[in-house]
Amino acid sequence: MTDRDRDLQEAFDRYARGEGPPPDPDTPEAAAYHTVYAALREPPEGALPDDFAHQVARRAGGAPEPSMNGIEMIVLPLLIAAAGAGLVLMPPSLAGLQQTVASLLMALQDVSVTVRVDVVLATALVLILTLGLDGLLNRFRPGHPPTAL
Amino acid sequence: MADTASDIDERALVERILNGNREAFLAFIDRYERLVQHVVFRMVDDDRDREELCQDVFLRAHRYLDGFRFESKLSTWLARIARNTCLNHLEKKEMPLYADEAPAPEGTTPDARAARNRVPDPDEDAAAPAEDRQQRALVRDGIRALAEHYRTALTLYHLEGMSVSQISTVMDNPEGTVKSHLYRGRKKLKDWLLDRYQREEIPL
Repeated sequence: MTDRDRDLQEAFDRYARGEGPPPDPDTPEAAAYHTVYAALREPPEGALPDDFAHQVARRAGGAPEPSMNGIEMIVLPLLIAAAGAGLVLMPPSLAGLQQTVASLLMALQDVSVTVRVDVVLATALVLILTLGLDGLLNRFRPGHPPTAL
Repeated sequence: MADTASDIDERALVERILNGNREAFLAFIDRYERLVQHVVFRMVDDDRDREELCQDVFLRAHRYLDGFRFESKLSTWLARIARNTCLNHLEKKEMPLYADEAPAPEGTTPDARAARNRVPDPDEDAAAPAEDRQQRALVRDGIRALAEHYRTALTLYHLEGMSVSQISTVMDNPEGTVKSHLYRGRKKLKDWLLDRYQREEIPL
């Protein structure tokens, strides 16, 4: 951006705030900025219907629901407790954990010789992790309203 | 920092809405309808989607109002919801957001159609020369051709009178970036106008 552009914009801004005289559109650039500033103050064309507020109120219903409903308020602490218990009761070493999982899979493998239980379990685990991650990422999507402001 | 009368007013209004007062919610919509309309109508060109999106913005605000912590103005929070709702919509429709695009052919945009069908208001700017109105229409086309971040920053600043600090909250950008969007957006519009008019045709 040139200094000329900056100076002109600052002059038009000062005028818009009532802090200075109207800039003289004595050059094509100044005249163009005059038109640009005037157009920027014009609202976009189009209108909402007269009963817009009533339409929205009808769709909204009564009082807003709390951000966390009753079931979520019960399930969330339970999940946290389960995760904590899992950490405490987990075998003390990775080798131990591996052994536990392997023996569990062996036992499940005996259930059926045709179904690969380990594959089914791995698929289910991946699915659950994907859904969980998707849910988490959805919270940060642009459409998610800011709640902390 | 002491609460201003406006803050207290906002708190009372929010409390009444959270208690299920329908009249309070209607007053809330009346107060902020223009803001939401301006943001949505500047970001989304399609007439069919605009009204629905405005409704969605207020429904989201209603749903998440209990999470509003009064750390900003209600208008700032609502403008942010409006922008995010539109961004989501445009992403779903795979509309370009980050690069300036070529404007639609003359007369085919919703604003151009609305302008063509509009009944002239006898009190409206009757003295403005036809050429001046034509140039403003050209700038409006230019605004539609701007990338989303320029359009939003310019709308919130010039139409809603928001400060750079408020806009930086709405857009989740540093204040320096917002200032840059404002300067560059206005310069692009100035260049757009000069490019389309012979320099000597711009009335001095």
